Parts: sequence; C-alpha cells; structure tokens
Amino acid sequence: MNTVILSVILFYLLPIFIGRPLVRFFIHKNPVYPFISYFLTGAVLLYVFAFIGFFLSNLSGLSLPGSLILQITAGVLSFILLPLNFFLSREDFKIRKYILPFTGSFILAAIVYFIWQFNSPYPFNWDLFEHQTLVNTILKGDISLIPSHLSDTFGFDGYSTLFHTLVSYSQSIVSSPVLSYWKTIGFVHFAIVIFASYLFGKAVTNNKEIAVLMTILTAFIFDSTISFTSLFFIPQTFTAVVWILLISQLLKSVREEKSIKFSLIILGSVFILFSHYIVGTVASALYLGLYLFNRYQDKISKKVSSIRLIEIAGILSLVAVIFSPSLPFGFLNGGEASAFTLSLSDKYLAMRQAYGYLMLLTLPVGIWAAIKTQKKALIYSSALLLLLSTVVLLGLPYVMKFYVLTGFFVTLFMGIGLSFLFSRIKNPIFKAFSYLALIIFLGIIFVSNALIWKGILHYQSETTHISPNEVSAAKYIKENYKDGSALLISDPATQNILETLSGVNSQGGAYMSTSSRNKLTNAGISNNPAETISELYKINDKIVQTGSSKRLLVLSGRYFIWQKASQKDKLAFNYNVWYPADLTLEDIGQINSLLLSSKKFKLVYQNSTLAVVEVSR
Amino acid sequence: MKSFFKSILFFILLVLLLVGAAYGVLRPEHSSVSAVGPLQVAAYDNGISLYQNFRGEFYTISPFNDYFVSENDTRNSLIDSEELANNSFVTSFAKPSVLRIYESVGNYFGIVTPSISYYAPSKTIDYETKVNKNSVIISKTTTLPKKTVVKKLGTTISFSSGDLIYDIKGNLYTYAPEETLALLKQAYGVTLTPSLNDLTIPVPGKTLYIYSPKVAGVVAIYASKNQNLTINRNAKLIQIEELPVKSNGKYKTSIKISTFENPKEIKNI
Repeated sequence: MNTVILSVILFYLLPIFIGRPLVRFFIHKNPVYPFISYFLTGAVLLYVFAFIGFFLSNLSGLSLPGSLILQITAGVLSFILLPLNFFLSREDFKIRKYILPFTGSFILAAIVYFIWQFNSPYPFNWDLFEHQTLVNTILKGDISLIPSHLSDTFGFDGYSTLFHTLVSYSQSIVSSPVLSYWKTIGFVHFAIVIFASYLFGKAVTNNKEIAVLMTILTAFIFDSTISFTSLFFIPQTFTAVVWILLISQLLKSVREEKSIKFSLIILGSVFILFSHYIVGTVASALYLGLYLFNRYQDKISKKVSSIRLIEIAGILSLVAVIFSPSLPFGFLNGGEASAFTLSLSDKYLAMRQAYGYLMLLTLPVGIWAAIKTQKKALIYSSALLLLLSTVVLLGLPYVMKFYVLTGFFVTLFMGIGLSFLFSRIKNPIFKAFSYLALIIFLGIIFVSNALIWKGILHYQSETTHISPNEVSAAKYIKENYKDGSALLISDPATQNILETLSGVNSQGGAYMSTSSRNKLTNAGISNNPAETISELYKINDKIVQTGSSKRLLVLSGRYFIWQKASQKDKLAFNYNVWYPADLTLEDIGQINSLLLSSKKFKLVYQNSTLAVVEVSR
Repeated sequence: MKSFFKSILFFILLVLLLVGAAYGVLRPEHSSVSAVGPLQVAAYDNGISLYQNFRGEFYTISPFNDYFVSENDTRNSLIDSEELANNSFVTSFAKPSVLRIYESVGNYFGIVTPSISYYAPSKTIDYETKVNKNSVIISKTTTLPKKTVVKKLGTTISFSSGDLIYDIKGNLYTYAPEETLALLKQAYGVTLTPSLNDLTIPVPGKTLYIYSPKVAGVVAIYASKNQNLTINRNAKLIQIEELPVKSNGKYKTSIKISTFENPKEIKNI
C-alpha cells in the first residue's frame, strides 16, 4: 500500500484499536457511536505515553530520536492492547446501516476535493507548514505540552501538542512525503467532516432525508474565512469534527434514552480542550452543559420551559450582538488581532462567499420548522445554534474561529429548511432531479468561492502556495544542512515553507518576530556588507541556540517582493507573499551585487525562483 | 395525480430558491483569468492584458489605442477621445451576474478564456483569447460605421518605460542602462545591441520581445506575413499594422503572443 495512505490511515486507526479494548473492558461495553470513544481513549493514551517515552529516553541518557521513541511507544502499546481486540465481541462492528452514508461521504468528498485541488499540485492549507514544523521538532526528539517551548514559530499557545503528537506517531511509523501526507489527510478529514454531518443530522432529527441534505450541504459549502472547517486539517477543525461527533453521540443517546458514562464525557471534554484551547473551551463547555442540562432537565424544566430558555437566550444574544462593538475590548483589537476582527458587513460578505443567499433563504424556515416540532434534540440544537451564532456575530477578534462549531448547526437548520421542499416532492423522478439541481447549484457556489479564495495564487499554469523550485531548494537545504549548523533567514513566507520542508531552523517561520523583521529590512537596504552580515547575525531563534550558527540567506522572488512592501505590511503577521514568485532580472542584479560586495557571501544554490547564500562572519 | 403536480410545484420552487441562492454568491473581480506560461491574461475594462501576479506591469491590447487609418491617412482610435470623454460606449466587463457566474465556473475548469466587447454608436469591438500552454492568440473583430473607409488596421500592445524591446537579432529598440545589458548577458547569455534611431521605429522582422527587468518572464509577439511591426516609443506602444480584410461587414484580425520564463529560454528554442 502507498506509504502516504498507510501513514494517514494510522493516524485514525492506531488510536481506535488501542482505545477499543480499554473502553470495552473498563468504561462501556457498547457506547453509542463507539469508534469516537475508542479514538479519544487511544489518542489520550498515546499522548501520555509519548511523554513517558521521551522522559525515559532522557533519563537513560540515550537521547533517542523522537521518531524512534514514538515507534517504541506505539509498538509497546500495540503489543499489549491490539491482541485484546480479538477477544472482544464484534457487536460494535455491526455497522451495515452506516456503510452507505460512509461510502457516500467518501465519494462526495472525492468529487469536491478533486474540484478544490483542480490544477493545484500541492495542498492549500497554509497552516500545515507551522504544524509540520512542530511535528518535525517532536520527530527529532523534543516534546512539551506547550508548542512555544518547542518552536518559536508559536508565539501564542492556542493548543497543546496533542494534535501534533498524533501526527508525529503516524509519520514516525510510516515515513511519507510531507506535502502528500497533508494533502491526503486533508481529504480524509474532509470525508470525515461530511460523514460526521450525516451522523449529526441523523442523531438530531432521526430523518434520513435531512441527514442526506446535510451531507450534501457540508460537502459543497466551505467556510473560507478564518474557520476552514471542512477542507483544512488543522487543530481547530480537528477539534470541531471530534466535538460534533461527541454532540451527535450525546443527542443520539438522548433520543434513544441511552446513557453515556460520565468518564467518557469528561474524556471528550478534556480532549477537545487540549486540541484547541479557544475553540475547545467553548466546545467542551457546551458539550458538558448539554450533558448536564439533559441529565437534570426534569428539575430545570419544572422551573422554566425549554422554549422559554430559547427565548431568554435569544434576547440575551441580540443584546450582546448589538452592544458588543461598544464594549471596552479595544485592548484585544490591537495589532494582529485587528486583522481578524470582522465587522458585521464583512461577515455578511463571508456568508455570501460561502453560501450565496442559500443560508438566508433556508435557515429561517429550518428554525421555524424545528421549533414547531417541539422535539427535545431540536430544541437543544436551536439553543446551541443561537448561542454559537451570537459568539460568531460579536465584534471581537478571532470570533470567526468559532464558526467551526457554529457551521454544523447552520447546516443542520439549512438541511431542515430544504427538507421542507424536498419532503413534498414525492415523485421519484422529480426527487432525483431535485438532488441533481441541488448538487449543480451548490457546485456553482463552491467553485465561485474557490475562485475568490485562490484568486491571488496564480503561478505559471497552476494555482498554488508553493512552487516545485521551492520544493527542490528545500531538498538541497535538507541534504546539506541537516546537521543543524545553519539558521535559515528569508521573508516570512519563504521561511515558513523552507523550514518545514527542509527541517532547517528559522527564526519564527511565518511568525518571524518584529525585531527580526526589522533586522532583515535593515540587512536588505544596507549597502555596507559588514552591516548586512551584522544584522543577519543579530537574528536569533528564541528557543534553539543559534548564535554561532551559519546564516543561510534565501533570496527568493517572494523575499524581494516582501522587501518592497510597506513597513506596516512587513511587520504584520497577516501579510505574506502567499504566492510563489520567480526571480526577476532586477532581483538577480541585487543578488549579484551582494555576492560581489564581500567574500563572506557564498552562493551555494540557485534556481529560477531563489538563491541560497551562505553568510559567514 | 395530485402528488405529481405537487411534486412539480415544489420542484419549481426548489429551483427558484437555488437560483436565488446562487445569485447571491460573490463573483471574483475577473471572471476569467488564464495562465499563459509564467504570465496571466485577463480582461480589464480597458482591454485584454497580459501581466504577472502583483508585479504591476501590464501589456494591454486596448480599443483606446487600437486604430484604423482612414482615407485621408489619419489615424483614428477604435474608441476615440470624444467617445472616451463623453463615456458614450459600454463594455461587457460588467456582465450580467448569470454570465459572470457561467464565465467564472467555465474558467475554473479551463473551458472559458478571457474576452471583452466594446459597444459605441455604430461600432462593436470584440476581443477574444485562445490559450494554449504558453501561447495566446488574441483575436479582434471590429465593426465600424458603414461609410468608414479603412486603409489599414492597427493592433497595439502597451509597454512600460524600462522595458527592453528587442528583436530576434538582438537589436534593442528601447533605452536600457549599460549595467542592465551587462547583467542580461551575464545572467542569460543574451547580448543586445542598442538600435535607437527614431521615436517610431519600423521593425524589419516579424518577431519582437518585451522583457521587463521587473517581471520574471518575456513576452514574444509574432506578427503574421501580412502584418508589420512598429515600435512607437513616444506612446509606449508596439503597433501591429495590416491591410484590412472585410468579411460580413466585420474586420477580423489576430495576433499570437507567447511567453517565456527568461530570455535564455528564447535563445535556446
């Protein structure tokens, strides 16, 4: 089997089969949607044992490579736990009713992912580079709960290293090309999001048609502003899909009047919290809140009805949305955060980019139809939609990130809204044409969305964030500087790509510090070689000692575009040269001038996109 | 039967709802952009332009510069300064939503390439592109007022100051500093000889190259047998002039443009 596919499958199946015996023997014999419980249990165990493995390696003084430690840890856990799977009854494998929706989700995902990746050789997930940098660090032999302790790419710890450790396990056991790994796992994540939507729709409504409509909507609607739920595999989206599976599990158990062990609820809450602190806090609070509300609903409903709760929540939400712009949160809106603070009109445009007017046309009908049914799961979902929508509409920075959670509820009520029409089309031919029409129009909306999103990424005949020349340069750097003797310096985008693909350290990658950006600017404009060298040697990694490391200056097309940008843009974390750029004659002239100015600049590699210059002191 | 008609009714309602939903989708600024080697081609409101992402250099074929030579040897822009000043023309740049959505979806899959039309009183000028890898054929169809006498038709491509315009023999028709020429020779092994006689220079050959030191790519313009190339340094235009051939009341002409990654690539072909 292809190593990439094997590596990606391991990411999901290793925790599942390690967790299965533990859940079955110690927690619950047959939980609702058992595989999510198995995955979470196995993943937490793997994470904890990774720390134990690294601790023992350091204690023994062997200082083994991280990849070997993870292989040994996974090997030991598999040796003990995997055989136990054979002693368990296969009741949980009776999944016949899920085969069709699961296969359908993968087929839909394959079609839409093909359209998304059309004319694009590499994944579009720009964040993969920073996450892979952290994975590279773990694979080399460092681990910590806190990302910023491992790499200065992370100036803000929004999550633990749980996500990265699980990726590291899969990459350490089966090594595969990084970009192919992320492209493939992006597809599998997408298929799982679509399938999770089906399960969610089915759990809430117990209506197959609504679940199918949700599946189709999730496949074609991509929240392309900040949240990126379906098409990007990153901590926030991974958290969201785990969360929606947990919510579905909970709602299904409510509907079927089955219980979920409190230990599984706690495990799920802790997992999503560690996967992403910001999104996970809200997600686990809602998950726990929903669980507790349902558990004690008899006592609560004596005092206040469910509908009255929605009304109260609605009024509070409206007040919060109206008054949030005037709340004293100015201190939060400065700097980088201001770029991620969207006004209501920005959010309206983001909605139109992803949905057209479909949300406006179907959501109100869906909410009305849901509340009319008076079904418990739908009332709970309406309340969650209200709360999550309020969070997203607040005029605060980063709130759009919460759309990874909100989106599932929006899709649910859109599905209910659409089913109002679909359920009245009884004739099988018209029913088939209705689905076809839905797919065609959603396809048009998706392509328009993708066109805008990819609009700036034209390079040669492709749309891409990176070029083959950059991949080749990274290979050269990896082969020649793997001893860790060099510090890579370039514009933030070039650093982001080359640090990840070569494994050679840079200061901050895409999140280069303000001080380093200023030094690089000074180095770029100086005509005095001694001053340029001095500025380059002042750039230092904050985590790894790089004072005496050789400086590897990468002069790429992006670097020269970045140098010509305004100082404000150069200092902004949300400004990057996102698209590949080849060297112009002007750029080559500047490279030549630099090389001629001092023998301390040595050209070691060049192609039409970039030149790599060794800078000695 | 009742169920059948109910199905039709709700199917129609569904389609109307979906049309309404798709109508709200945001359209990209350019509904159609195609890659031509290292450059892109797209329609702007002033014509069809070749450019490279964010480099700020545009090579534009425009009805405001394209011209015909009339009976008394006067040069007339296809859309003249009066029409321009009075804004007495319309373009297809701001197409109706449905057309723009069709164009953008088609363009995403490489089926639709950039095009634009201009409509002035009794005049229509259509530009269409046909892209094949690193080449584009830009076709122009012009309809002029019936009594117009056309002696020659001219298509133009704009360039910027600082661009190097040279021919296949290495004759350079624009000014370039010595350092630039030395760098060009060193980087790509291409030697150019300045040949700056007049402001308007007829080019003996049928091929011209535009190379901007600010762009990572070269534009090659190929004139056909019946077309003549002239460089108008004053207006910063390359003019492709030909005798008119009228068919069904329309003048049709086309120009082939190829792009290359650098001047060395041209030298090697």
